[in-house]
Amino acid sequence: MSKAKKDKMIDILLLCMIILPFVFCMVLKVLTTPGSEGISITGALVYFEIPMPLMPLQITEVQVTSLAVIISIFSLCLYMTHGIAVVPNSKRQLVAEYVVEKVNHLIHDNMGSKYASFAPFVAAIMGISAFSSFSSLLGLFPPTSDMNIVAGWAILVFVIITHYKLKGGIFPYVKGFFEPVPIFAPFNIIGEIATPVSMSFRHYGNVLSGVVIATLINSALGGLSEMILGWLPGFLGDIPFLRVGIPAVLSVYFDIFSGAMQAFIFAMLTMLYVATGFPEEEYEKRQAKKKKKALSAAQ
Amino acid sequence: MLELAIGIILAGCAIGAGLALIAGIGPGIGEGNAVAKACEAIGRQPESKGAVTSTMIMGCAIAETTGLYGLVVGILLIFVAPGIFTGVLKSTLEAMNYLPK
Amino acid sequence: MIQSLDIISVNIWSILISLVNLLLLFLILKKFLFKPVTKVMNERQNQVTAIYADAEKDRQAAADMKQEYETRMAAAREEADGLVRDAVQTAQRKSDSIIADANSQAAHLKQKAEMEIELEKKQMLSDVKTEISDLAVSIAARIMEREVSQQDHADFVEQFIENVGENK
Repeated sequence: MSKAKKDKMIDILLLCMIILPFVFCMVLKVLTTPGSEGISITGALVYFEIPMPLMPLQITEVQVTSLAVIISIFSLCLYMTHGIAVVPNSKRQLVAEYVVEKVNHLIHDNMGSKYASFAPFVAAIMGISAFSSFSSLLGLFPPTSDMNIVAGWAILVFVIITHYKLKGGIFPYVKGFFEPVPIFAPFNIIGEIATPVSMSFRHYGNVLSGVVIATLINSALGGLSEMILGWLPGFLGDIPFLRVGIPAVLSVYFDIFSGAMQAFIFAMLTMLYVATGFPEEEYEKRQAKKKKKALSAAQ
Repeated sequence: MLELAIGIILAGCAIGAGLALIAGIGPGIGEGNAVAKACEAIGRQPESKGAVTSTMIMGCAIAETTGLYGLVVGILLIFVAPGIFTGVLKSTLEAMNYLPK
Repeated sequence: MIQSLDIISVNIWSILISLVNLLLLFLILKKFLFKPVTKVMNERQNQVTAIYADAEKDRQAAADMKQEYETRMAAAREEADGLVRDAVQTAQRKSDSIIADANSQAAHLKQKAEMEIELEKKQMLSDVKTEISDLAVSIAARIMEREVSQQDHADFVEQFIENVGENK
């Protein structure tokens, strides 16, 4: 087989791998959604449970869609960097370079050049958040409207923030809670804990409000079309014609704009929290002390 | 009697949800202020429209957080709380032998 | 029958899974998007730098060559000018000498010719004189039939000729 043909085959395979996970999720959703009447605003469907200590692990739509998102982004990365060359010979390479350059610029502008290794992490947050929110365009249950998912990300971000704060030593970190006066300690601790909570609630609430409003509008449109077009003979009367198209206008705001906005904000807040939480002076002092100690030990 | 109790629970939840959504006032005023100031800034310096707009949207999205807390509490009160409260009520009544087994 | 979750539910394992998912995606992006793209971009940067350096070198070489060419050109032009000047000078000199030669020769010839003419004229005049005197003597002898002394005769003829010359 010639090389060009092989490349083309790999391209097609990767393209399929980008789309197929979502198709699989949609099929699964269509097959398993129970028929229901009226409004039902619920969480994700639970496919099965795995008994675990503390509480059973529920494998839900959300887990499946998250996995699909990861596979899809993975395939997209492979597709964009497949056949990458020093002299760009394809549009997808330009897209990949544009993305990388944009994220690097964002990091550089908001955090400074010494955080350059944060670029893939910020890109990962943006990608997973945006793709998860956009998956509701396909009729899936968006993973970002499940609190557990967003809370997981926020907790990871919180761990990273705390890690960077601890780089200045444990004592200054603990001391930071008793400032400006020791009485403020509980408030400071609450403020510290509020960081992941507010981050996750902001993202989750935004997406969830979109889902709730979309569901309400959908059911209202169903009732309206039954009232107006119910006189049509046979099964034609049962089809909610008004549901076609109108909710799409709403999803432009709630899914695309809001989703992209929240992804950007989540990434932005991560960058700002990490960059502002890092105690530079303490860190440098500590490094200098360590160096001195190492020098004296060597002598 | 049980029906009445459940009705009171539902009414309380609904009223609570309505009150919780008063939280929407704050972000409403705040975002209105932000947008007004942004309009002023653009009027004064039309060339900085892009920067002002993106900063404003960012700020609005963050200011919305408090409103979203209210929304989450409201949704909890409407969709989650009634089930929990009625469950608690039923189990309590069962434990006190008020309910026929 | 498939159940669905409440709209808000907290599950520790679910949180953990999503945390791990984000870490996984971070590693994927780092390994499969940022690493190759950064590598390629750095390589391109190096190549571009090398190309610029080469171009600078080439430009320098071209400038040097131009400089050399210009100096050489100027030298050649000077040389050519000199040659032409020399040639013109030589030619001038030669033509001057030729003209002078010709002039002197012409003058010489003219002088010679004049001299010859003068000589011939004198010869002829003397010839004519003797002839005429002889003729006159004979004529006079015949006419007068009397002997005249040679000396008287000659004086007389000469006088006559003078008169003839004057009357003429």
